[in-house]
Amino acid sequence: MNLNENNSATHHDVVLKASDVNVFYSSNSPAVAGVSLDILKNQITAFIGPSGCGKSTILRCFNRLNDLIEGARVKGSITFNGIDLYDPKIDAVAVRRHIGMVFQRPNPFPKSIYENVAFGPRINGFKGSKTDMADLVEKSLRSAAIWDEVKDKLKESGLALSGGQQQRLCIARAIAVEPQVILMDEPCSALDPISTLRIEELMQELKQKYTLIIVTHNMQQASRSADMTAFFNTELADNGKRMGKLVEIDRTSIIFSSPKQTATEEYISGRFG
Amino acid sequence: MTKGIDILESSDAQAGTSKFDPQLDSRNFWGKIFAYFCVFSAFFGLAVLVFLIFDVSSDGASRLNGDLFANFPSRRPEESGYRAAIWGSVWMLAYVLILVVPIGVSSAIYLEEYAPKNWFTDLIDLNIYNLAGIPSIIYGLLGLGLFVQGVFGGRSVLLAGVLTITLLILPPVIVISREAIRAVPQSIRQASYGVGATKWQTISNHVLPAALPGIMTAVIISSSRGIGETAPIVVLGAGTVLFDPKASPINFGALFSGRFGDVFTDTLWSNDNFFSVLPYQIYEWVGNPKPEFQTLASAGIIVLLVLVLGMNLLAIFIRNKVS
Repeated sequence: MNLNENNSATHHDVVLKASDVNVFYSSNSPAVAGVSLDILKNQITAFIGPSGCGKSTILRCFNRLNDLIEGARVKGSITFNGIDLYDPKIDAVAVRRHIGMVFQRPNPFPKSIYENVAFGPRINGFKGSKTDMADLVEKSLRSAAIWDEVKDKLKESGLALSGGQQQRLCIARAIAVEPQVILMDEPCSALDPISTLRIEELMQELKQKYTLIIVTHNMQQASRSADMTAFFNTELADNGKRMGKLVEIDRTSIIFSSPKQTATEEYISGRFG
Repeated sequence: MTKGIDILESSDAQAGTSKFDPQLDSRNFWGKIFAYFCVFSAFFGLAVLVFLIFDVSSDGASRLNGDLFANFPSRRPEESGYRAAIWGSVWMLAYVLILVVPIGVSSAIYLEEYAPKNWFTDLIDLNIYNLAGIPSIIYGLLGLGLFVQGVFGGRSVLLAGVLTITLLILPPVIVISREAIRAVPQSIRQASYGVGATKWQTISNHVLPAALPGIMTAVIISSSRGIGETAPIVVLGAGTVLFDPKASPINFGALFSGRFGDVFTDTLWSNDNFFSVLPYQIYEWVGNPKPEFQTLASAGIIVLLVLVLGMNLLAIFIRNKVS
């Protein structure tokens, strides 16, 4: 099944659509329950909320990374350009090429900078020649705003870079396989303020071409960078266990100025969380 | 620090009324005692090894000559040598490695990367850890029943020895390789899956290369133990042999001269391929009352030590080279 197929005639502007998504980790009570939201194309959507509210869990449903956790189950539906990502005919491996990911801690492979970027295209059967690959690596590093810093040391280990550079290398690695969506799981939480700012600037450039979802603990970051903001919170389930819920999602300006829910208002004003 | 008085304490405005009794002298004293104990422990093993090498060297040096490597065992100690035993050990090591590396590493990968968590894999897990602790003589008995009697008609051939030592060192190889695989950070695996790698691509491109130094250490340390084993070899019924072990899997002479019926005669598979190994031959001669044989045994120990220590050095070298 071709994930690139564009059904935007029916789903205008919506790239990813979650409908009543519940995620279970081994037990019968969901870690996150009843999440329904739309992710809009070429927009940055921020997921905010206190620890344990399930924002990372939902993020990892979009590229089926939760599949790797034994006992994890996803109920409900998530569609990507109208195609159900959890259809048995869909291979999770294919999903992850179209929906890339940047992790909380920079995690370059212990290989050269060049190999870090070239790995994704290579394992996905990149059809171009050696020079095409070199061009793709350069293009990806340029898009991640790190080319000028690494162009003279492409053969050096990716681990020799600073934390902020490593994270931009990871972004280059993600965009090398030409995804449509990039998931970012607290990409700046391990970085200093200057590096954080560079990543935030980069995100504004990336959204011209890609759709971005960012999980963040930093509300300023969400208000600075995101077009849409989704607020998640924890709730006590009937059996007394905590579970995550989507409280509301709206344009960032509305969430931060006149949220509809009091919980959102309390959270963004710093009364809890 | 020299006195048990905290000099900074006297600068305290409320000197003399401190709530603390730092006892720096006593705390530093116990710290030093512990450090000395650690140093002593570290050098104790080394000192014993140096003493052992020195002792056997002075005993066996007079027999460290070409004859030691070129001659077969004999009733006359001055003509005796370890030729058959050295070749036996070398070929045993080679075939043990050929068997242990793929089986051991694949088992470790399965248990770490693929195995679901359930009672059955827990059972396998527990068994492997237990097998790693079973005395080697038990493996000798297993090899005697399973290979010597079951497969080779009561004949203690090289292949029976190889299979027995392989079984003996598989558990430690699996256990240590698993530790190496587990030590590969989860973030690397996630990064690989994140760009659309399959499980196999993730394992072959990232997990195995990162775990390689540890896996190599596991294989080399375990197999150098394996070739030093005497007990299981004795139990298998190895004896003094007066010919080189046959190690080739195919009789190339027969193959190229067209005698296809003979391609497996005089090969590793032959049922007259009796063998000896260094530790076994040493054991034989140590037990001989003639002092010349004791000297011969010491010379053999030097050869065995060089072999085993050489392999361990190789392990360290490879590890530094790879990582």
